Amino acid sequence: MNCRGIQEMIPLYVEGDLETDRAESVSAHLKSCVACSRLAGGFNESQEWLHSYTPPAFDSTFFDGLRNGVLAKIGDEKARPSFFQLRAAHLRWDLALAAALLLVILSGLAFYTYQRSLRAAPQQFAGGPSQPGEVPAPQEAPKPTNEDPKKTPGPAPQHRHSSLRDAVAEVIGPAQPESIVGLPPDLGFPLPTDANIDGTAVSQADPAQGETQPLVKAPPTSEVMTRIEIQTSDPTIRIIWFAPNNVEKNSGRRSTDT
Amino acid sequence: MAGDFAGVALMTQYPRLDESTGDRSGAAIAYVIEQAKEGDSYAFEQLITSYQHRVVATAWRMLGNQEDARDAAQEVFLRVYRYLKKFRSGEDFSAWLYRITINVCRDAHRRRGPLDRFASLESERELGNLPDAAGSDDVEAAAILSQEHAIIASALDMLSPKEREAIVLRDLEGLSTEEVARILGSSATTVRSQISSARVKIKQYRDRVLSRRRREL
Repeated sequence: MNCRGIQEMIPLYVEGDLETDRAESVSAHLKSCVACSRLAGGFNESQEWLHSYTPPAFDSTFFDGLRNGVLAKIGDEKARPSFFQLRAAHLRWDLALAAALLLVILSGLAFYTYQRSLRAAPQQFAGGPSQPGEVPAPQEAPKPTNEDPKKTPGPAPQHRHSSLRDAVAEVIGPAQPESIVGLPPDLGFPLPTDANIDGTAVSQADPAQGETQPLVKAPPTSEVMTRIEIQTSDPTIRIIWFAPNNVEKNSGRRSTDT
Repeated sequence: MAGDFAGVALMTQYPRLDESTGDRSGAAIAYVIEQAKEGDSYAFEQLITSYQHRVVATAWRMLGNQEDARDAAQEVFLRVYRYLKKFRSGEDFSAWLYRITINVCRDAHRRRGPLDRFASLESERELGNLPDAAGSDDVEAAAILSQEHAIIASALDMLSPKEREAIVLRDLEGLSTEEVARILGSSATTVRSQISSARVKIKQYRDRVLSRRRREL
């Protein structure tokens, strides 16, 4: 190893911080190299000088003062009130009570309003009449047909189904056997040529012929109104038509729902 | 009064942790630490008594004067009191204490700034860095020693904080490189590098001081 490498290791060598093999190689080099040996001597003197940096002999008064100071500070820390205790000292309890009471009242009002809106929501969703005499817009899941049950979409939730029936029955009276009714002329889409309008489901939509191949059927009617249901090719869309019996058929009211 | 007697009775149950007699076995320290953790003020006082010399010496070496060392030692024991519950049983309490001392001294050094390198003899005496001396020879010797200490303190002061902490723990406190590495939270290789660099800088500083003295003579 050359002098430069040895001189880099001398600061660690003088205090025994080198591994054994490196320390031995430095020792061997120092025996033969005067310059490196002089450098190592300089480091030894410097380290001795550094080791002379010993603290003065502190007397017992010093340590008593130190210990008492620590214990006094600890006592202060224990006696010092916490953040909440400090806050509580300046708190106006009457105002705080009033604020808490107001908060409770407002929370109760908000909860009541929320519960009320939750109760009202299912009725609106089911299409029930919100005003007396108003014609509802009923929604009903598509009924499966005998021709192709695979094309029938999944049944709607039971509670909605029954409420729809109830809503319709409320307007048009108890269900009658399905009967033949005339088709309104302004359906807005072509009807299949083989549409059988003898009452039951007459024609299943043909997906190959387009999107708006309707299925026409006449569901139960009452003496007051006639109900016409048209099932489009989209199983989720059904057009329901209510026509009064005492006026012309094409002047009935139509409602759509999806 | 009854409380005082109870306190005395309680104190006699503790093993004596007298630093001067060196009676600081691991089991005795662990017992006192556990008692102090549970809020026993006598046990905590025992801890202070046992470690105050070491903490003050380290703080003095790090900060260079008695006043700062005492303030730092007080802060060290306050932090020990606050965080003793977080100290895990079985850990090296001495290393934990060194770590707190180093952190406190680092904060104090940062607040205080560099040392006044030309402190007068009077100010050194006021700071308690000079021993009380009766004769004029003693005063002269004390003055020379104080001057040397001031130079060494200046040499340590010009080091980087990491170098200063490593050299104080390794060369002045006499800990091993591995212990220093554990206390400072670094590797032994890093500590060796810091120590080597610090020794070179201190030697260069001393060489400059000696050459200036020779020129003045």
